[in-house]
Amino acid sequence: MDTPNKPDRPLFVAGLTVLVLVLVAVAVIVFRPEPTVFDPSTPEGVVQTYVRAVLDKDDEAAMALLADETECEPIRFGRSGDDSIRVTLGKVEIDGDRATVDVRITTSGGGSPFDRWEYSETDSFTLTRQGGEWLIKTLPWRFVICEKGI
Amino acid sequence: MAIFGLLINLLILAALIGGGIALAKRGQNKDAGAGSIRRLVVYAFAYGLLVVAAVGVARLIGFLIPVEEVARNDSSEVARALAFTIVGGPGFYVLWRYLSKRLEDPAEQQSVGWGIFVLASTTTFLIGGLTGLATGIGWLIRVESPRPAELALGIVWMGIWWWTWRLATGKYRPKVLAEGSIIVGSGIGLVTTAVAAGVTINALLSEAYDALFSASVGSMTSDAFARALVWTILGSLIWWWHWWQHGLTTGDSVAKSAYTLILGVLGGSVAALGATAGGLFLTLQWFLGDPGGTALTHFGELPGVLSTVGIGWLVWAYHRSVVAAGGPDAFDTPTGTAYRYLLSGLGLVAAATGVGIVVNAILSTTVTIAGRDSSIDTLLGGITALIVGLPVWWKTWTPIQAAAAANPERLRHAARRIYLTVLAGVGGLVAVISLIVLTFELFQAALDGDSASVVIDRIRGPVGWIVATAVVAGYHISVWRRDRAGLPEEEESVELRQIILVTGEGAPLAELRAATHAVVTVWPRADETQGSGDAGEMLAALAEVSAERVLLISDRDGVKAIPLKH
Repeated sequence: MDTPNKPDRPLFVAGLTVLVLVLVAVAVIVFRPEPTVFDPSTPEGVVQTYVRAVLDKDDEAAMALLADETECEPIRFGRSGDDSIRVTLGKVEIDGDRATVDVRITTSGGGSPFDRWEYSETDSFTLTRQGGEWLIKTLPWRFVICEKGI
Repeated sequence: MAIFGLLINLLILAALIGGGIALAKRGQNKDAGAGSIRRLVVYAFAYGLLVVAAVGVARLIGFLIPVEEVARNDSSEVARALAFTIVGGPGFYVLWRYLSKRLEDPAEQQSVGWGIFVLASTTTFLIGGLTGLATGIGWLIRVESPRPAELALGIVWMGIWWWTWRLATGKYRPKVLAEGSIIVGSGIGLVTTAVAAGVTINALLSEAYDALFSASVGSMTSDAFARALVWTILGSLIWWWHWWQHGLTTGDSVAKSAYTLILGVLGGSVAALGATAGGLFLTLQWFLGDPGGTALTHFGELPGVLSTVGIGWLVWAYHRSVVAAGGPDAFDTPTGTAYRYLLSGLGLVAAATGVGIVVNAILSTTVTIAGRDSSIDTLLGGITALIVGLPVWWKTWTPIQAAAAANPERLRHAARRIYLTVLAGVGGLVAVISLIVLTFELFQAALDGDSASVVIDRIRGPVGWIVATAVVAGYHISVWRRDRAGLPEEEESVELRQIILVTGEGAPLAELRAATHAVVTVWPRADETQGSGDAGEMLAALAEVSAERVLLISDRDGVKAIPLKH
């Protein structure tokens, strides 16, 4: 840029870095593997199935995974409409017939790239084994779908 | 409005106190300091009395405007208005008679207190009058509930504003903050007009959007439209009067450049580019991303985006033309140079944000067990920021570098040094904060025994910022290095420290010392030869040599200078 004969190397390197980053990002997002599907007989598998059912608004499938046998009225508490939500798996601890599955819940939203917001929280599901199956006993408020499930 | 007014008064009070302290600290001339403090106190008093009287009179007139009412019990309000008027009005009148006599003296017109008084008064009454008039007119055209008090306030305060405007530009015109009232008024007019025009157009476009797609169940936009239209008309009148009639023709000043660059160029471009990014993001998200809801709700923000882009761009383009009006070399003046660096910085910040978001998006594709995935939206956000920021940066940075290459003296410009220093400061700050957050998250993850995917999710934000800062810093460190290498060499000058003068009697020692600031040592001759006693001749001889020590011999033939080694 200084003179036509002398290319501006640092500028070239910076530009190339940005370009590579963008291409890597596009490639990773387009070609990424499907999220791991955990075995539904494990505690993390139960949590995954439950969260997906809640996000798909399949309340029946979700409630089948709750430990509380009593019937409960579905409620719509805390379900955000347009916000994006992502759940990342943390620690899984199994202690006999009880299990704890930690999750990191990230919600994000906003219009333009300069006013996007993101909020993350760490929370956990506790499960109990009943008749050989893991069922959810307590859960993060965001995924509560019925009154007895709280 | 009440809080707004209180804030302004507090600011003015703070300015008066700060000015007083600054003057008191000047120390050198204690009498002037004490006199200035006396003036500040008197003018602060005058300002207070004027505002009190103005509030009282406006309220009283407000009570006289007939309104349909069921019942009324406002004796305390009337009492307060009477008290304000009766104490404030005569009080200010007496004080003003004293002040206007003193103001015949040019020294008084040069005082800081007078300058602050005039600027504070024009600003206060302009803002109050504008707010009152806009609300009062809203009532008259039936888009506001009855507001007689505001209408009276608007009319009375606009009248007082006119009087203070005459003070600001008439024969008592202050010498301190001389153009302040014009520039501040221009700013108030510009911001009011731009915001109100944006709201007006937004209301119109929203109405059209709803009509086209029958999106609305019920709407109230016509009132909002009328209200915003009133503000737009009043704001543009204020802007036309202050800027078009007066501001354009005043000479260049720091205040005028600050108005043009910060309000006009930066304000306009931030609005235009920010809204452009918002619109682009909405579109990309709809076609490539993960939009929530229907097209109707997704693009519901489009009228707002379009009106902001339009107004922002108009404001930006107009003030760019103000900067460019200085002729073909306009962008080489301090204001023009600052214009380029300002926009270059804006584009760079937007592009760097984009880089950070893109890195964040790459990392956010880590193990997610469930969720409406947002990593594609994050990536689109980053790409949008790059698309908007990079061209702005490129279009302004390339001419800057080309101009600097053509004339290396430009590398010394204050604007360039400030630009690189501010970039280094902001970059350093972002890097340090990101590193602290990163370290915190890593330690917390280690102490909690988090899984790898949670760790990555925790750190992707700060890592993105650190990468963005590194890319920007990498390039600008090289710019800074080449600047230092490319700077034209300063002429190496050897300072003359000592003169040994060999002469007879009558040497012009004092003149030599004064002209050279060197130590002059005289070695008197033992013979009878009388040297030339002419200082001009000696200085001419000294100018021909360059050394720290010079032997100066003055004899019949003239003056001879011999440079000596250390």
